[in-house]
Amino acid sequence: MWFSYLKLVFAGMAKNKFFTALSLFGISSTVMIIMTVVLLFENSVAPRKPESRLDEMLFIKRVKVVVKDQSVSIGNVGRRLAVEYLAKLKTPALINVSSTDRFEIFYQGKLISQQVIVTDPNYWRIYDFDFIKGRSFNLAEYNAKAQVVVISSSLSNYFFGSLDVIGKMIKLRSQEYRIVGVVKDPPYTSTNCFAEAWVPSSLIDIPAESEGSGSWSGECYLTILPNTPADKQRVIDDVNDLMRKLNIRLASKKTTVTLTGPDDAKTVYVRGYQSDEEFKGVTQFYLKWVSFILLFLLLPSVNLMSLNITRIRERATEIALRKAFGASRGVLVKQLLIENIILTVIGGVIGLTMAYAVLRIFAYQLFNVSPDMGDVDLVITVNISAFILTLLVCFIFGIFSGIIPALRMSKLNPAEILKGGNK
Amino acid sequence: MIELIDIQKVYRTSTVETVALEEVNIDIKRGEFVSVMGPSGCGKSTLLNIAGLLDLPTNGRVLIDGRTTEGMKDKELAAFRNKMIGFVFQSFHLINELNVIDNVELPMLYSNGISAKERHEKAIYAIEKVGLGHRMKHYPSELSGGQCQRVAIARAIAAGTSILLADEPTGNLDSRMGEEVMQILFDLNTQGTTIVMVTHDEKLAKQTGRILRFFDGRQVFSQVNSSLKQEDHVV
Repeated sequence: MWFSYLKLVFAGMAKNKFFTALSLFGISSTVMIIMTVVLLFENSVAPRKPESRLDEMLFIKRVKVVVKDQSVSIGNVGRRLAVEYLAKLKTPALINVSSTDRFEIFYQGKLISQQVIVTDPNYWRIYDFDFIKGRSFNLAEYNAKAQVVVISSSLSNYFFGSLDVIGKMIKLRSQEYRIVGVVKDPPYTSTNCFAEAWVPSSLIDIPAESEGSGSWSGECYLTILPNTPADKQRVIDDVNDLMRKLNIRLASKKTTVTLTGPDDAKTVYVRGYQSDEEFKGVTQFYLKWVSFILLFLLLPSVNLMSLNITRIRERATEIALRKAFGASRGVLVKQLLIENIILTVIGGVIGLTMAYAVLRIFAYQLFNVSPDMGDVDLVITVNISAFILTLLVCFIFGIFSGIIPALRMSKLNPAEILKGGNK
Repeated sequence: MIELIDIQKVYRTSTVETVALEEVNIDIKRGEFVSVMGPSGCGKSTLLNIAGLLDLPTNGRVLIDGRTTEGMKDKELAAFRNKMIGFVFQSFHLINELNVIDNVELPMLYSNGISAKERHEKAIYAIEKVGLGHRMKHYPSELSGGQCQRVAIARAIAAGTSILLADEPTGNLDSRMGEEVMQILFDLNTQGTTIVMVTHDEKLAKQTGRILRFFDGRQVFSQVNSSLKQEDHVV
């Protein structure tokens, strides 16, 4: 039975090339737009090297400092708050304080401005970078404020044309740094750890506690890796407790410091598009997106629906025949819906492929990174959940656009149609 | 086998009411071969559609194989049609995108309890029965009119239906092909299939067991074929 259905679907598609092309274009472009957004999201929060343990991590990236009747500032976490308070949490966990900035990097007449992460040794324990040469900077070097740097293989190739660069010196912001390690480039999509070079944060002084927001907001973000997944909530409670105590102490200075987080990676990503007031949780975000997708599907569905309705006349004899030979209305509706779903699934797979291509072609713009280093590894994967989502979208699309034509077709009076007609 | 009792069929639009059939009472016995004749628009096809459960009468009852079809839901009617009735149309109505064997298998797709293998075997048997065993994989566009009608007959009988309703089955065929098709219908009738055939061809009709003549939606004459040495009578 299914084989006969399929045969008819494909024969019908081949026979009505214009209709098929038009339908497939509508479906695939719709699915492409939806899946581009989905893949962008999925690839930005997917755990993959060096963010292999992304699902276990927590992040604190933003802080809001209110000095009553004076100022409100929102920014990254201040270095003092990060290092002196948050990095000393009681719950056992790896805590890293980093900041990201663009540095002018210079070597023998070559100058390039690249993203650099200023960080501590815990960074290398939380993120699992592949070291091609050398090693990360260690605690001794960190404590000794050694001017050492780890660079990406792209940067190494750009400056030296080779990866054998351990011990060589390059200049970052006019300061000489000794290269201690070369790592495989992190993918652009690893938004929490993407950079071209890494230097110890001990080189930056921790500012003294001062009035106003200066001590609390700044340029840092924290990555926390709880010892066990079960410790996640304990870490969150610990942070909240710490902030409560801090705010009690700051009450006399009419200052309130409110952190955003600790959040998991998905929440951080979702929050990125919304203010703290707007943010109502990841579930709400997903619901909003599902509603948006359904709404977005409506227009091409109506379009495909009208195309399907115009095909009724063309297929009337076949439908009437099936009815005459024993297909009930229910069976016909089911069959016509299945045909429509098959068409939309084909369009969906094309759309998914197109979405993947769009992400590859426009990766720099979509992932908001600069394409200075041409050979930086770009990893975009289509995982099973994205594929299932595509099928689901197509299924909904197929039902939306197929149900009314199917119901109309099933109501055809076979006696009237089979009276005339051609061979 | 087919009983039509006090059948009336009225087509209504907002302005016009057309009586297609009026006070029609027919009893077709199992194994009969009945021709329905009459001028165009006299209700022959309407009668066939009502007998084939493709259309519902405005009034009256239809009994097939002793079972009343009154009050049957769409699903039941469809299943009943599938089990009992096969159709042959003047324009063949084969699906051009399917080959002969797939066309013949079509009604059986909607039969319960027939496996793919059994369906295939039954289709082959029916196609061989109409003499097209060598054309199984051909598409309708590759067949002559007569061959297409033979495929249509194979499709109508493949599932083992006991009633065959044929609406001018030779209407689109030349005389030689028409004779071939008629021969197949006679053979099927001999093997027990009840056949009701609408035709304009007096010569063909006279070869069947009984002729029902219609005029203006009413059955006006029932003529038993003389070769069977029975009487004609005005209804």
